[in-house]
Amino acid sequence: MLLYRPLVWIALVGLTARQSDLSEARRLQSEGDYPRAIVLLESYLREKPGDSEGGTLLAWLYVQTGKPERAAETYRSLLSRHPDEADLHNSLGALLFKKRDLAEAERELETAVSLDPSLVMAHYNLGLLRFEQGEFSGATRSFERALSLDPNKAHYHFSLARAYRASYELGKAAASFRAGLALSPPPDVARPARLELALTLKHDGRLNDSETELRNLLAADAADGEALFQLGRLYLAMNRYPEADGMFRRLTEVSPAYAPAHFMLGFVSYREDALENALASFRRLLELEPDHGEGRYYLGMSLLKLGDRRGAREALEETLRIDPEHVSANYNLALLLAREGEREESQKRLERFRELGERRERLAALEERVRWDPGNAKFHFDLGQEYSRQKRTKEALQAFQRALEIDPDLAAAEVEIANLLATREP
Amino acid sequence: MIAASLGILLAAGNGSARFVDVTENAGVAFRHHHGGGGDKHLVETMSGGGGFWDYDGDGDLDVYLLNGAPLPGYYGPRPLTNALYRNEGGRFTDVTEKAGLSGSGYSMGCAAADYDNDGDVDLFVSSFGPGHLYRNAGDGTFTELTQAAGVGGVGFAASAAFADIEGDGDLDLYVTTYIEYRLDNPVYCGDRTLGRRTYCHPNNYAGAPDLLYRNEGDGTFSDISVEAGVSLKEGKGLGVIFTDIDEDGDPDIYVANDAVMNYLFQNLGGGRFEETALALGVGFDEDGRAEGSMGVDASDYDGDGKLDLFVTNLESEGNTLYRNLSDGTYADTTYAAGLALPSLPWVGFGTGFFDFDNDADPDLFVANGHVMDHASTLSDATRYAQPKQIYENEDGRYSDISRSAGEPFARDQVGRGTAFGDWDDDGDPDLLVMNNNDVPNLLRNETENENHWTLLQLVGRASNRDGVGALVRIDAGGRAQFDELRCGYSYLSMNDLRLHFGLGTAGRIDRLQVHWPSGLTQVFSNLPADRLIHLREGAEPEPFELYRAP
Repeated sequence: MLLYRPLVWIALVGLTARQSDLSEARRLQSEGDYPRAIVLLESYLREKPGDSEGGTLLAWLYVQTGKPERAAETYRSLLSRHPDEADLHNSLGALLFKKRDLAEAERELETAVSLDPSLVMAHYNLGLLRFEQGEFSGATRSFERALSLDPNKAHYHFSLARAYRASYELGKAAASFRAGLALSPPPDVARPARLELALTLKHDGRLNDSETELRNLLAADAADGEALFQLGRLYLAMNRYPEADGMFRRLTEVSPAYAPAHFMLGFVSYREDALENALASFRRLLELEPDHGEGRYYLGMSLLKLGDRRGAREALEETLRIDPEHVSANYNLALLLAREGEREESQKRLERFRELGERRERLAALEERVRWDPGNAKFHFDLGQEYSRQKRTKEALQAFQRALEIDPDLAAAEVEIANLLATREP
Repeated sequence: MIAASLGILLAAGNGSARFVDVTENAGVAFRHHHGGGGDKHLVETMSGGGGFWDYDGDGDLDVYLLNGAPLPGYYGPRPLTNALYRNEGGRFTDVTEKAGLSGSGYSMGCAAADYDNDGDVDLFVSSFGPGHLYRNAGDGTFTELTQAAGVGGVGFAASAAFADIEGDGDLDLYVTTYIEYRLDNPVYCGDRTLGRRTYCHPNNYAGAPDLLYRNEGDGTFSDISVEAGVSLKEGKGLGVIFTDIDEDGDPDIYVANDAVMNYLFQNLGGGRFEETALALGVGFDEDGRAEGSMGVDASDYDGDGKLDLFVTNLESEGNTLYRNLSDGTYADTTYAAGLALPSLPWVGFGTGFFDFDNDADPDLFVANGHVMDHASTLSDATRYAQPKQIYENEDGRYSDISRSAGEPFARDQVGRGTAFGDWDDDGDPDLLVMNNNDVPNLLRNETENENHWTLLQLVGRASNRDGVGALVRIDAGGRAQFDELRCGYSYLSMNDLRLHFGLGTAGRIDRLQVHWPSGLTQVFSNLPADRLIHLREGAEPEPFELYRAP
């Protein structure tokens, strides 16, 4: 959430004869009659073009009515008369950020904080912008500065937590989420933050603490579907299958049309070798999402284990229709065909598996290396290159960024990021 | 499933096991040192081998334990030597010096067999560095003949196994080689800013081809790895077994590789092998993923007369059981067999099938221990030292009964090699677990029941003298069991060369069939249970009472 101050603007000019127009515009704005408020303010500003209060309100109205360009023009016009007004730079910066003009937004926000280092909103907005740019260290610094000026804003803590998390400083991220939650934000803010805290703890390997937070969410709302889903996944990670089963089962009751719940329930059943239950879940999933490739694959595997080779073959072939590069489906179909005596077709599938499997194995090996040694810049860099080769741009960017976070002198990562950003589709 | 299909009532295990750690009381005062000095060389965390063998031919199992060697920066006790303990009626005496087996270099694994067919058991020790072959002089002493024999290949070796690959009556040697690794050029893994160095994932290193040495029958071996077709450079071999996968009468080779596909080298005859793991379904897990495989064994776990394979793996992968489908292919049946979920949290190393409760089916043991000594900082779901696990076979489905198996199973250690053998000669198999940078566990099996058993000591004539590779089928009490004599399984370990079978309530063996590597098949009837039976190739069986340790 970008921060503006359009409605609490401190007037920079004294009361005039047209002050009534400004008051009327405010009244219209409060009633939601934005078009008439705009007409009135445009007229007002033609006579008083340097009026910051009126100009800022007009810019805000332009934004609300889908005219960001005119809003920016208005801010620029005001800034030509009040170039040292930090608030205006902050507002323009926030607007440009929203328009994705990140470079100019950054300039405006930096000007704002240099003019008024105590302007907490500008620090916060600058943090958001740097986070968006993937400059997590810079974002962290800006959020920390904002918090030093106003430590009682829960969402500042949450934003700082996200910046830490993006920098893989998961312990600090968890602490920041907790600091924000300690300020007792409203439930609609606290709930997602607690969920993020739980996931952060999980990623930090603190599975027991993560469980506690998810349990807290469910204590507040036993039908919290997201918490049920994440707790089920956490129990899977903890190899607590019966409890995972319980969570996903409950989720299918709470949200019967939520396909992922059926998939996960089926997956748990499959691993518990409760294959009939697994079949039921995968079939329900495929009613909801017929082209769920992974669901189709596990349906095939369940049938295979139950001895239904024909059904398994159909499901595996269907998986490959949905996702021709499904490595595991290629593998199992190849083995199945070999058992059916279709050696030529099996051989083709095995060749395809080899080709796809090598790619998967290469990536898995690099991911495993990072998992074992998360502080090694080169490993993140290598992983980024593999993601890049596999056209997984977002993950590649994250990996290169992480490499740079660890080793700021890793110029090769800078180059890779620049190349990816230059070629990335909007 | 034979028992079920025949509707025969068998004496089942009661689902409980009891093992007691007697290491210290039995006189085994050994401690493994990995020799690390802070550089976190991967060899440190992978080591810990040894096992059982009857080095002095007195009929009971002695213990040999392998040690590391000082690595750069090491400041612990010196010298680091291997240790040989002689079994003297259940008490062990250190006879290392007298035997000349203190070893040299960084020892990893070992395999013991009578490679020269002279009636005593010789020893091969694999190393991080050159391997070592010790010839048994027959008087309790050994002579190192590595160079003369030509088995001193250098590398980061791991497990070793003997079998007669060409059926020429002498034992050939397979040595797995892990990765290309140099002490003088270690990769830095970990966080330099925190000064926290860690062991590197094996993916940081290139694989290294394994070694296959053909026994020339004159005391020398030839490295035939390349022409035999087993020299695959991508392999990261850790565990190995010889087993006749395709039942064509010659031993095939299954290699547990770390983080890359496992290999199955099918023996084509004439010293040639073909790698067929992918097509047969034993290279990957059920989803076609390579696993971090360490230990390996084979057994007919479901009683269908076919040998199945079991491999221990990295955490989150689960160990893998490959069921022989009787059509030449295998299926990953780990989940169905109940072996996946209990193994997911742990990193498995030493392993083997063994019928600890003599109820006539192969149970399982796994020694666990993470590779990363900082594992607990990565997740509170894992840790470096981990518990051992024992699984009871219940008609082809396994139950983890570790919690009730005694104190050794409640204690976390960094388990590596595991050897299987009846060292106290009481008719049930015991365990020797080698722990990394720690003391070993000599475990006495004190599981109580009235089940019967047999222990078969094979002596080849036309075949290799140890009878390695012989296929044995036993019918007792209406149940058929099937196994083969393997020299080398588990991880870095050597095991009892006597074949053990639990017989359940059957007080006699109705039928015993031995198919020798020479091709000779012998069938015997109505043999007594609860005896050690000497089976000499071409001769009548000789049952003996076992001396029971007090």
